[in-house]
Amino acid sequence: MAPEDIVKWTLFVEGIALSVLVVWFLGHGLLLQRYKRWSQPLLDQAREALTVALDNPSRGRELLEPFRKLPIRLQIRLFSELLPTLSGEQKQWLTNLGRELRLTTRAERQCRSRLWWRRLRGARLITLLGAREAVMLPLLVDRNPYVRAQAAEWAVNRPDAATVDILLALLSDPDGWCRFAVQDSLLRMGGNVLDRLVVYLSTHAGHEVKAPLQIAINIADPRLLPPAITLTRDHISEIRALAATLLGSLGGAQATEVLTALLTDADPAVCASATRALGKLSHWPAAATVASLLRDQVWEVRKEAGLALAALGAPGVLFLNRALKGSDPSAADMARHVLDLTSHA
Amino acid sequence: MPEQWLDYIRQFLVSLDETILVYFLFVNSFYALNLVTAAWEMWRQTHHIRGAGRRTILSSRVAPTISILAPAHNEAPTITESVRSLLTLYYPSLEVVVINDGSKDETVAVLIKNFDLFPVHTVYSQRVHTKPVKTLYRSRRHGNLVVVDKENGGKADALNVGINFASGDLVCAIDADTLIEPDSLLRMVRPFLIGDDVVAAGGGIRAVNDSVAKGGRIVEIHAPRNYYAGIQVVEYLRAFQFGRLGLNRLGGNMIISGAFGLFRRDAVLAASGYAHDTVGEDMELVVRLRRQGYETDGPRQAEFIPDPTAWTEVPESKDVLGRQRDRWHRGLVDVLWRHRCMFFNPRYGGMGMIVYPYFFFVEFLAPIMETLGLIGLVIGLAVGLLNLSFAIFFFLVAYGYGLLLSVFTLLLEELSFHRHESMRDRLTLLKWALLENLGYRQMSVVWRLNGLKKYLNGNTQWGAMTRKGFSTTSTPTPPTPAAKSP
Repeated sequence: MAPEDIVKWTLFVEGIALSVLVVWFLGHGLLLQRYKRWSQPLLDQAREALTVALDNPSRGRELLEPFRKLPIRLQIRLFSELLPTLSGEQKQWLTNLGRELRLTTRAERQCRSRLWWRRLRGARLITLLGAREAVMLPLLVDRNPYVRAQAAEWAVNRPDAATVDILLALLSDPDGWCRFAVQDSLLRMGGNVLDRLVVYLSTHAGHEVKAPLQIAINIADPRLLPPAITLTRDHISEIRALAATLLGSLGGAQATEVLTALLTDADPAVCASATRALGKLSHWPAAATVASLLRDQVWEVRKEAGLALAALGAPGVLFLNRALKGSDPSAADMARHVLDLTSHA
Repeated sequence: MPEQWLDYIRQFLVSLDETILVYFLFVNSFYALNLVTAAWEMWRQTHHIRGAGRRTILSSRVAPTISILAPAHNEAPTITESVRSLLTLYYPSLEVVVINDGSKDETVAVLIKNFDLFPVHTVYSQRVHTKPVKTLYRSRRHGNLVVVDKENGGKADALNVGINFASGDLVCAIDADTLIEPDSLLRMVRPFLIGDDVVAAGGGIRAVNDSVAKGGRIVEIHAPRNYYAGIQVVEYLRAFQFGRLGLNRLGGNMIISGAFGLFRRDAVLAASGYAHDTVGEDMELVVRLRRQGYETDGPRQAEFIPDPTAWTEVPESKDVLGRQRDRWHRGLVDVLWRHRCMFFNPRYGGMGMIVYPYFFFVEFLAPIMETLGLIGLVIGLAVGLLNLSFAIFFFLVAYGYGLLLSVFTLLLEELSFHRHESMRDRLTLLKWALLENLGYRQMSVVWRLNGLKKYLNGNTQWGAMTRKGFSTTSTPTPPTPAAKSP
């Protein structure tokens, strides 16, 4: 074929492709516009009917005719809009309605699909409507991270030991989105996860306890004290720093004793964390040791020492004033900063 | 003309034709690949986005904290509305840091009055060196608002001050005149939650011209009627929804727009913040962060997320647009030169082997090759060495391919977010896509060549940018003064 023929053919193919794209673009626009024009009034009517029905649960069924007429897709859309904003009887009523309309059955079927996005869609609907645990529990170990994350979101309302154990194991999931969802769910479960969390922290170490420690810091229950003390001896400095923060949230004589010992840790992040924790606990007997950290080489440690001394009250301010007049320029500078800060507070 | 000279010209033209043909095939093959990856990425992302409750992030205690950095220079007429709009963004732990970059107008006074600011002292480490800070303010009404008043040092310096003062895990750099959609941050944080190796993420930028804003929010979206603005809408869609989205799968992005980008703060601090001595500071930072990631085995990915959107006014006059494009091209050339060691360097993975060469061959060389092609065409026709019908068909193929990509982008947008809802707007966009190749594209080549020339002459001026201000349903917004610092 001659070069000119090749170019002509290419132009011909381009022309066809362009025509298809333009028709697709405009056709989709036209259909979408017509669909919106058709669905919007239906959606508005159904939304209004649903709102009225929620206020009159006794005659709810008869009010729901416009809602039943909606295509399933729009019904799901309304459920997704309304359910997260409801609680108590109204939520239960709407959930029952979803079951009655066989949305739950549909979602359960989707959860068993081979395609991940269908399983995800099903899991999202079940998170809204609730379903048998047998359907959702396997999704906690699904091969797709988005599905696992959605299942973790669903698990918030099922804080039994087995589920919590699965969630704690998922904190080491290779996918960040899944780890985030799991961490969030565990935090929402609050005290319900405590027993399993204590066991987990007592039996694991290293990187595996990083995320559980962050949850523990937020829960801050005294039962977490023994594993927290153990973890201050972990070989990873980041874990020791987190354990120090946890001790700062727990308080008590044992915690302050361990925190004071951590002030001499070789890692500046651990040292800074322990200093911050002691300041938070207003543990003034540690003032002298904390004051010595004003001369530390690392700025972050000096800053935490200065702020902790300010938090210790009169004894701390005494040490800050001494540092201000002392020979160490770094310590004096930080003391000046912090004293200036407190005078403006 | 002696026969020998004619032979030289003939040889030159043949070589030029071959080079341009190879270049044409290379660029268009890459575009075809990009087209596939963009469609795939859009499909994947929309499945994740659709039906996903953002309430989880909104009410989460483990979501990373975000500090928005809003540099302001002589923005007194619009600063209150801009800051109010930032304070109402949906995000669980958000800090707004406004940096007054030595404004000569009443910017600080307006902020003090409208947000009840009071001066505070803080202990902070100046990890990135900047011009001196005069005063730091906090608001009595909004606990998460910080205003830093500093000496003028330019946009990069202002952002660096913001990075020093910010307390968030992530920092979001914006232009003070950018309107961000309320749930954009909830969307934009997604890549950081998904991957530990993400160092930067960028959202889509759309042209606000002819759309209507109310209370710092876009309430009506329209395709601009102005020739330059209209074509830029298509251009922006192509650059973001097609180009940058596709690059996510081809080694990651090298540009995160300065108008709306989210960065890992510790990585930015480790990289010493924005560079002062370049006009492409946003691109330069992204390349440096990614390079640092590869060199230190730290986070290195820069992702584009199609759904979070920031609205910005694009130039409506040829002169202003020309200055902007010339500056962008200077920035591109500067960044490519600074980081030339990455060119086809396997140490930098997909960035060194695919993305950097793409920016070099396609973005940097395109205006040069296009000019050479046109010169070759004119000479060829003048000396009668070129088959006219072949030349015409070839150019139709080249421009047709560009049009095909533009229409594909419009389709991608239509199938995913369909922001332009009326048929009239859709037809207008199609019109601008058709017209782009007739005149605008050639002007763009001239602007970019001008940028290259200025770069070679050592010109590092920003050039004045004038803006009309957003259309609003309430009181008319006064014209925004120079949005960028010198």
